[in-house]
Amino acid sequence: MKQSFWAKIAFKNIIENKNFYIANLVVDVFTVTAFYLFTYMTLNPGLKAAPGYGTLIVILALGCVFVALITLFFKMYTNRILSKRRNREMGLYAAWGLEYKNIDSILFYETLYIYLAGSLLGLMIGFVFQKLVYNGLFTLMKCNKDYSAGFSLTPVWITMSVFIVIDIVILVSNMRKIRKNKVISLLKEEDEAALVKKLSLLDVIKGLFGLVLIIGAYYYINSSVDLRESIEMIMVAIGVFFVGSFFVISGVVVMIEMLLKKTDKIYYKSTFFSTIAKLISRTKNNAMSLSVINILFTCVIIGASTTISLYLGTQRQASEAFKADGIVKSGNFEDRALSKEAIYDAARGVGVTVEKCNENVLLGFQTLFDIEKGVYQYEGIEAKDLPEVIEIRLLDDFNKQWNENFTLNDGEILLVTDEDLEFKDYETIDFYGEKLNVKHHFDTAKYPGVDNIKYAYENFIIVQDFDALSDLHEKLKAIGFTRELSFWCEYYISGTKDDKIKVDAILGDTLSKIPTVDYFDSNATQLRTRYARNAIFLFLGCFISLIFIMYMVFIMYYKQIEEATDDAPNVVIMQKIGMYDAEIKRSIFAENGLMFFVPVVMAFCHVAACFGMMSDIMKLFMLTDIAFMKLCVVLFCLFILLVYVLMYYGAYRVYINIVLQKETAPHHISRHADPKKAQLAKLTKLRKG
Amino acid sequence: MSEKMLELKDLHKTYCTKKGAVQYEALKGISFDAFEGDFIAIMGESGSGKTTTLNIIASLDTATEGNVIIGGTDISKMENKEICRFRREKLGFVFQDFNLLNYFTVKDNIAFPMVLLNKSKNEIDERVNELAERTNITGLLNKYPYEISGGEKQRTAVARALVCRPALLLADEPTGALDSKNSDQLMDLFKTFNDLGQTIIMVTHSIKSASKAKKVLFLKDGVIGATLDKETADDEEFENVIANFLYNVRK
Repeated sequence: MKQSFWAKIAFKNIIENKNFYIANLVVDVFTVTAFYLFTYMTLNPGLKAAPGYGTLIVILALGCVFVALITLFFKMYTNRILSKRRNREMGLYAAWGLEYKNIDSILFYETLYIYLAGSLLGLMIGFVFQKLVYNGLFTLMKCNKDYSAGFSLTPVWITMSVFIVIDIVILVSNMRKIRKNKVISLLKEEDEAALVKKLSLLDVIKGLFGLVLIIGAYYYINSSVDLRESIEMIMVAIGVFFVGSFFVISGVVVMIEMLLKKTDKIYYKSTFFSTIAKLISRTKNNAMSLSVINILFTCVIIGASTTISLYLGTQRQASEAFKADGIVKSGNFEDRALSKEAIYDAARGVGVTVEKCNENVLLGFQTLFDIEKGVYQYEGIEAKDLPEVIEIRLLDDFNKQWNENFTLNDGEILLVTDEDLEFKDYETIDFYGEKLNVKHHFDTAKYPGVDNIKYAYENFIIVQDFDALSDLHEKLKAIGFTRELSFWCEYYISGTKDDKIKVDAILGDTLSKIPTVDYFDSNATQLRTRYARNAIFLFLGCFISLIFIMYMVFIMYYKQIEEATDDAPNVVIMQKIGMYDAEIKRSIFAENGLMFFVPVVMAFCHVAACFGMMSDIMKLFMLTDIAFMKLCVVLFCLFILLVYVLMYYGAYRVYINIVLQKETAPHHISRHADPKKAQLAKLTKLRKG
Repeated sequence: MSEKMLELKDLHKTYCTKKGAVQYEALKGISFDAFEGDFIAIMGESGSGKTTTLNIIASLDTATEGNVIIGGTDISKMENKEICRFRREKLGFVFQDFNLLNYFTVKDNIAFPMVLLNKSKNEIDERVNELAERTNITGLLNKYPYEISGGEKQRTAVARALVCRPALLLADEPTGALDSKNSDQLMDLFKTFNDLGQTIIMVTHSIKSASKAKKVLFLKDGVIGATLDKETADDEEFENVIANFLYNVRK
């Protein structure tokens, strides 16, 4: 037979199964659009104008990879659901005598049509929205947008290539499955799915194990004190949630439903009788889909609510970055006058005054303090969860900064140790072989560092004067240290937020001309770079959440169509027995509601357990206003719950429309209510055609 | 004199295509009565209108013209909700393909109509156990329909049909999907319930099944062509009478 014949059959198949393919196509189109827009933004030269360009590119590129991976994962999963139904059809083809190569041709053309339709529509929508997304992103980033060049082939090719690879992987797996299975098992695959899977002791054990897994994951994510591990831990926890949720849904939830069935007062009520009996069967059959919905819902809340609060809290983060308005660091302490002058000149240029300028000449490096022996050493510096740093500073600078009047004699020091580490009262400490007498010992609660976020355990040694510092420096050099003395200055200026932004711009420009200045940062700079970075996070968070929501809708919609089609003959029987349409609707509403809201309730539990971890991650980004974050998360939860309720209601209407079709309703009960018979009739018609 | 249980008055049913271009008259004026304790078999060739007649009696379909009066109530004038209520209280069904719900156990399948009528658990248990014993499925009550044989499924369907003590038991080809042994067992069961006073109307192709009835109506092209009464004949004699009648008709 000519290939055109199989191409025609494949096209007719898609039309016959349009209910299933439309949902699939919508998700395909959306993921292609999202991937294209990500690629387009990543490769857009306009992005170079954004502050922190390098970081933004990395974040966007990682976003592209992530979208490609989740698309592959979810397409494989949704294909598994789709192919269950399609395999019966393929089994019929095989039973009619079609060779495997003919079935492969049909599958190939079906995949090709869906790929072309999905890619072309997705790309077209991408072209339409790319300018909007570009401008929207730059507006969110609060930086100048210079939209140029509407069309570039590179993101198009990348998108088409990625999706063709994904589709080929799925096509090959479908072809292999059909070749591997016997015709009879293809024909019976759907029937087996309709059987009631009984709850075994092993299921109960697995369910309880799942519960232990979830509780263990809750404990795990709340046990770490190291903020840097948060993101890694949350990923691990989500993986555990998924496995645990699957076991809990297929074991514990079904067990609860079984217990309800055993409770005569509940079960033998007309409202619950059919609901509970059907739930037992449906929950177990749908455990995997419900676990996927559960994880998608959890990820959407965590991903979207954190990126939304991160973006909306940008102002807070920037203000929180330093206690001062800005910091200048120079690798050469001899340039301190130049740097200071630049700060004062910039302030004068804007018409504001420098209210305070804390200068420090210092020697700083990573170290480890042996608390028992009072010894600073280099060995084992990786032992702590946060790095431990020491800065040796001058008494004069210290007194000025804190308005103190300490005095020190030769060989004496002031010791300021980190408030989170337990120190003893030392009379002397051993500083790399040098004995130093501790005149006073304080902790950082009294003399905190300028950073508001804890990157390290901070210790300060305040020495008598520059000679003492140089002396220590020479001794350290003698044992192999290479660090040089540096200069550091934090400044406070008067004026409004706009004035400070102007000072920042002038100062940044001046300092860039002093080669020894290796670090300049301010709250105003923080605001600019944070808006850019947070906008990208928001962009990624919202787009990926939308993709997740699309998959959630797809799974829910598809499951409803699939189950409604299977349930239609049951509903006809119920009608024949004398159940009212209203009773049937009530029963289905309760049944679907209980089934689809179990994963949501579990997702809220996961989010509540992850909240500590989410706020830790936010602290990494200097969003320390937890009340604000909590408000964002709660509002988003309410919003997504509303969206889910609407999705559920839509899916419920689809279900009802299928099971209570006019021609199947009594008084007018159809004589061909069995969808499989109808499907067979359609196929036979197609074959004849 | 027994009470009149069912009265069909001049039933007509016309099927139309969607656009109304083609019409097909399935029933062309069916009238007959059934009294309490009757066991009526309806026979006829495919397309003669027997299943349509049964569906109209069962209120699963509506007549184009005519009336169906069950226990003095004209169901052709009822609203949908009233019909559902009437169906669950007064009618019992047995179908060729059993129509059991796969997600219910055998026990729940039988109990379902009683639960819909909000009967108490004790009442349900008592009645289900009684019927399970009569239909010989006591040992299967906790199994699911896909775990039992065709004959057992049909006996479950009979128990379900009778659980609410319906005024009328309607059966559409109840032995159509059964082997001869199971068919005989099922018809014996029907006869037992009929002896206990249950009114039964059954559509069948099987002469042997029809011979268990007290009266046989022969439908041809949408009208009742003939009626045979069993009177004092036993099953075997009546089977021969039906067979001879059909032989003569065909001849």
